[in-house]
Amino acid sequence: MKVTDILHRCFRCGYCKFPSNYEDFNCPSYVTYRFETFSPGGRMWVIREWLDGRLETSNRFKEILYSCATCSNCVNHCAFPDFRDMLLDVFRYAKEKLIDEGDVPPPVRDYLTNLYKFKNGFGIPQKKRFEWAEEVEDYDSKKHNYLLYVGDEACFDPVANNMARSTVELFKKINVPFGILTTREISDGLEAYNLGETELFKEIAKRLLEIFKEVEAKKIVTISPHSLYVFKKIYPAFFDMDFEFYHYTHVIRENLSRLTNSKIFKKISYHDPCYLGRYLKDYTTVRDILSFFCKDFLELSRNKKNSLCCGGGGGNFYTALTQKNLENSAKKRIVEALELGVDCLIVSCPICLVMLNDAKKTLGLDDKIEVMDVSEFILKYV
Amino acid sequence: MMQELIQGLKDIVGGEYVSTHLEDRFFYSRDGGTMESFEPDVVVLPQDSNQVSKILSLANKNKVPVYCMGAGLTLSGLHRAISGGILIDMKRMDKIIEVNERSRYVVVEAGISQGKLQAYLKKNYPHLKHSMPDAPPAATIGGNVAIHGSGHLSFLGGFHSDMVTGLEVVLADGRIIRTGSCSVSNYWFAKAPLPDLSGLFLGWFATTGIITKVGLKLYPAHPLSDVRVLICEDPKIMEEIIFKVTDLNIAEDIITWMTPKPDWARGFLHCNVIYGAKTKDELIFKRDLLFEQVRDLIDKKVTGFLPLLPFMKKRFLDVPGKDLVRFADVRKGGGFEYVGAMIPTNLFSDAYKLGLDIAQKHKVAYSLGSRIIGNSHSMMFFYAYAFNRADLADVKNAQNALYETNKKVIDIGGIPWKAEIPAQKEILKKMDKNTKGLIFELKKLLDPNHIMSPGNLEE
Amino acid sequence: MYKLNYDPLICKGCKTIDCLVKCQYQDFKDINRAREEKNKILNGEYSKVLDDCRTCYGCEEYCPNNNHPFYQIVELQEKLNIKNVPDPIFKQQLRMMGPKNRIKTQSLKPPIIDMCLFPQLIDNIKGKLYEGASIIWGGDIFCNIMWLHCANMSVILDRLPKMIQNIYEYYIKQSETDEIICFHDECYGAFTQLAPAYGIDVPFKPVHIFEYISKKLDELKLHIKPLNQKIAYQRPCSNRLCSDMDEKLDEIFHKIGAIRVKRTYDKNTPLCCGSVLRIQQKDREADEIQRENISDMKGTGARIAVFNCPMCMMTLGEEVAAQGLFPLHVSDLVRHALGEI
Ligand SMILES: Cc1cc2nc3c(=O)[nH]c(=O)nc-3n(C[C@H](O)[C@H](O)[C@H](O)COP(=O)(O)OP(=O)(O)OC[C@H]3O[C@@H](n4cnc5c(N)ncnc54)[C@H](O)[C@@H]3O)c2cc1C
Ligand code: SF4
Ligand code: SF4
Ligand code: SF4
Ligand code: SF4
Repeated sequence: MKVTDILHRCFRCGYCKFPSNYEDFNCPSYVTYRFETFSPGGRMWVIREWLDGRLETSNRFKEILYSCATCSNCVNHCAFPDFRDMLLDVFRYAKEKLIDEGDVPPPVRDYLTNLYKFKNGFGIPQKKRFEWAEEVEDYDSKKHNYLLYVGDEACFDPVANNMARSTVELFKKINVPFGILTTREISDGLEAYNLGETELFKEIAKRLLEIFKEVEAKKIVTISPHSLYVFKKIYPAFFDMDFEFYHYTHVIRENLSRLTNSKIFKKISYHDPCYLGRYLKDYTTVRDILSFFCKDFLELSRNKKNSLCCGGGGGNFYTALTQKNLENSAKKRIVEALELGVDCLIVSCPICLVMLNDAKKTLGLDDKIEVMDVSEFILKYV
Repeated sequence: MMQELIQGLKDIVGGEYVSTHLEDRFFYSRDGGTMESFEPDVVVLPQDSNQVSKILSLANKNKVPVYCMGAGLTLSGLHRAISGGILIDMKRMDKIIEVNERSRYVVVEAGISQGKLQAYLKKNYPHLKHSMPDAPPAATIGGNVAIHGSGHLSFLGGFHSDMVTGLEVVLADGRIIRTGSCSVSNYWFAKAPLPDLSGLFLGWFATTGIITKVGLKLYPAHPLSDVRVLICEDPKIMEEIIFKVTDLNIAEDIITWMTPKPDWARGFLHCNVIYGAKTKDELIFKRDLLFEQVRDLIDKKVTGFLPLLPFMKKRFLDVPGKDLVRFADVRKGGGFEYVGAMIPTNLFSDAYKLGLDIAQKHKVAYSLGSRIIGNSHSMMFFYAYAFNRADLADVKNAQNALYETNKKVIDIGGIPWKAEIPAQKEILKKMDKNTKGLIFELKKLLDPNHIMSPGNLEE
Repeated sequence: MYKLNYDPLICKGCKTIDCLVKCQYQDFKDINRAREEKNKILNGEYSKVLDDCRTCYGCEEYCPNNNHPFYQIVELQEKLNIKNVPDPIFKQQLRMMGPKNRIKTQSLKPPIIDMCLFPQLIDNIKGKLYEGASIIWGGDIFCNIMWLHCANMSVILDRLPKMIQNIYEYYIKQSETDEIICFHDECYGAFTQLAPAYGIDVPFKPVHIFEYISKKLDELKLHIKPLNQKIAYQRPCSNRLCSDMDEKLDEIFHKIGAIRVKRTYDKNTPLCCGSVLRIQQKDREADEIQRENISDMKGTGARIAVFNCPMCMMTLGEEVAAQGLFPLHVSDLVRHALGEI
């Protein structure tokens, strides 16, 4: 089935913008903009008009396309199983066309330029990537079980970087032999792919794979679920490869017995990141870890495949299109966690960590709730 | 003037919630049915009654048309801006204001989705529920009562407009009024004993005012439920089944369905009877009562209950059910529309035959069925025709079938529900003259500048 | 036309009338009354048996002379238009389960597992037990003997031979094996018992799933960890067309260390799962039988209820679980013993 074969099949029924129990809107870009055009069905209809030449490229159109956080809630909840798996392919197809036209919103353009020039989306010289990690060894396949791929966000964003530091510290504490690509790590390219810049994505992916091969990596652990996803599911569609990929939480769970099982008396909850959850269907690893330490684990009512995306996927972490208006999904998430009555909202993705921390600050709730990732949490409380 | 008006709207709701972009105007210009597009000049998303009031004042002063949309799911294109102007999308007004547990009602903002209210009650008042239509969960409470919707508790409680206990409405000039007990008391418990002003806004296609709050009856939500499906081959027997089953007061919802696809269903008439219970024994007791009620027909072997395994039942017990929505893809083309005709139950056979004839004549992919409203007092008989949106001839064909169905329905004595504009005209043609006159006078009284949904309820 | 191969004279001279006397659903303690009713049946006249039969297939097993008492009943029910299922239901089911003419020629690798019409349990076909298996199923190879429950033999005689032919033409002819492993007792019973009773030719070798598993377990001996679990078994109606296969189950249980508990309703006196009674609009009776059946299971102290028939499992599974027993398909039980679950 071609993407253009399904465009006209959307019935604009709107199942796609809800979680399974319909409790509230679950499409982060719709939550921000509230115009139907920013819902998955709206995108389908508008893209069709545009492809058929009845709508011209406009700033609004570009905003509609690029504010999709690729959270895949729609893919999971569209009422039509025959074509719902292709919704994001449709959106990407349109973005690819925009890229071909050379007409994308300024923040998207800036991101891609950075990525092209600096091999990371932050536009920071690569040599600064691991300034924080001077103590960490360079990966040596003879010595290390794992190659830790840290990724752009956890290297360059100060908040997300805490997550990388904690993971490194925790890995050391539980004696996981690992190394990093101290001088060679580059972006994983996923956001280029999501933004429709497929050529740049391929170039980056090809280079990164070469590096993985050159250092004879076998088991690669990622901090970001986004990296894990792109390595496991997108790279193989373009390249032959033979590596094992893990998320850092997998390694923690493997080694739980090396941590003292001191019970933590905190009320906590967990925010499922889209790329580990809905995309890779891993809903258990983090829960296993947390329930190992905590008695009071509470579920947010939108959890697992119904999780409400933080709004940072699909490049929105960089372009901030989902953060344009006063309301946004990250703020809603913080309010939900507070209403649940937890002290701590745990995440397992650097993008979620930043987005939710930002939301908490903007809401002035800094002292009401902690947002931290699994490794930070363990280091702080175990 | 338009620029000023738009600035005015932005001042009222905030710039980010006003759009004149072509993309938005395009999307809001139509729905998933067959009706042609009419673009609004501007789409606006208010957050509360006061904002709605200010929008209407502004529009009234400038004599600019105002249309109102909930989720736009009627499929008959009722929210389309026939004369351009302002389209209000109500969905930001989605707060739950009050649940009165003992008096079993809820007060909500009109733009709240059916899904949100359902989930809220399940979580916070698991022993209470409202009557859900089988529309997609995005459908709004306001939009649904405004068109006399019906749903999963309609056998018990009638039309959803019958379940309204009070309304808050913004009139064309911006005045905010209330109907029902809430106009006198703090409680939204009933329309009686006052003059029933709610009737001025229910069934009027937003030509008399915009509903901003709704008081709605709630009903007991039983922990257990079951569905029994009776089947027969003769519509006359189905009439008898309906009469017998509705004579017994156990059901919450009774629907019939007749569809040529899948092939095994073709030619058979099915009747789903759904009921709830507190205990398993009660559930079985009700099942047995139901059996006794139709036993004579079963003994004649002309009907029976389908043997359904638990996983099969789930599909019929899902609220809202997804089967109808999926009908939109039978032509692999994202579209269907249905004539929902309000028909006295005694006309079941005629209504059914009418549907088969039209489907055959127009060679259109069809699905027929009905929901019984009240104790067999009437039914909403639906004639759903699917089409492939990418094939304009197919769309036209479905549109013709719908038009003819509307006319035939009126001929046999029914009335099209949520009628498309052409069908509205057919209804008015058949309507008692004095009644029609009064309707037009009331419209004029409430909307002297003719800004409210122009094009609707007009000859 | 296929004709039932039976000898009325044997019945006339029968001393025991086991077919009726042993019936669990009718009371024929008085053998004379049994003989009276049997004679009516033999003479093609109405007998109350035609109305009271619950279609449990039991008498096919009880008759020591293999004289097909149940098929005699079904033929007569049909001839005298004694309907045990409402017309529209029968007709709809008939259409639902009818041939779809979608079967395509395939060359299949053994073992070929025949799942009959029902794909629901396809997930069970995995692990060492079924390594490399090819699965076939669908309306074009449906054995159709369920119409025995609906007082109708002619549909079976019309459809079954075609289905058998389909299996042969489309699958067996170009495959490396002539063995068809029947996942359901129904198919196996149809091929090995009903077909011969009517002289229908079966040009391949039907193998019962129990035979297959039992043999396979010998190969997998080293992997078996004995279960040491008490099991309540739900013997399905169709297994009564192939009683010898019930012994194969004992063999399997023995090999995996499962203990088939003694229960009132197993072996020669199993109880209907109730699904048939529900099609026959006998819900109250079905409730009672199910209650009786499950309480008997519970009473044995078994923690696991094992099924072979998918219909029994789907019908009883939920309630069995609600009553604290763990419902499992035979295959899954075996996979437990193989450490795969
Ligand atoms: C698959 C499917 C199944 C359906 N099943 C059912 C069913 O079982 N029962 C049923 O009743 N309907 C059903 N519908 C029809 C329809 O979707 C629902 O009635 C729905 O609730 C309408 O609400 P809405 O918010 O979409 O209204 P809209 O379509 O947005 O509006 C409907 C009408 O009401 C007016 N309106 C909207 N909001 C207001 C307001 N606040 N104040 C005044 N006027 C207003 C609009 O101008 C328009 O004239 C179904 C539709 C589909 C697609
Ligand atoms: S994407 Fe699917 S669920 Fe969403 S509006 Fe379209 S058809 Fe409906
Ligand atoms: S992927 Fe997420 S953000 Fe994008 S349209 Fe779907 S639900 Fe909305
Ligand atoms: S069918 Fe068998 S048991 Fe019955 S009478 Fe005949 S021979 Fe005897
Ligand atoms: S099939 Fe069963 S119920 Fe019927 S007569 Fe034989 S033993 Fe009795």
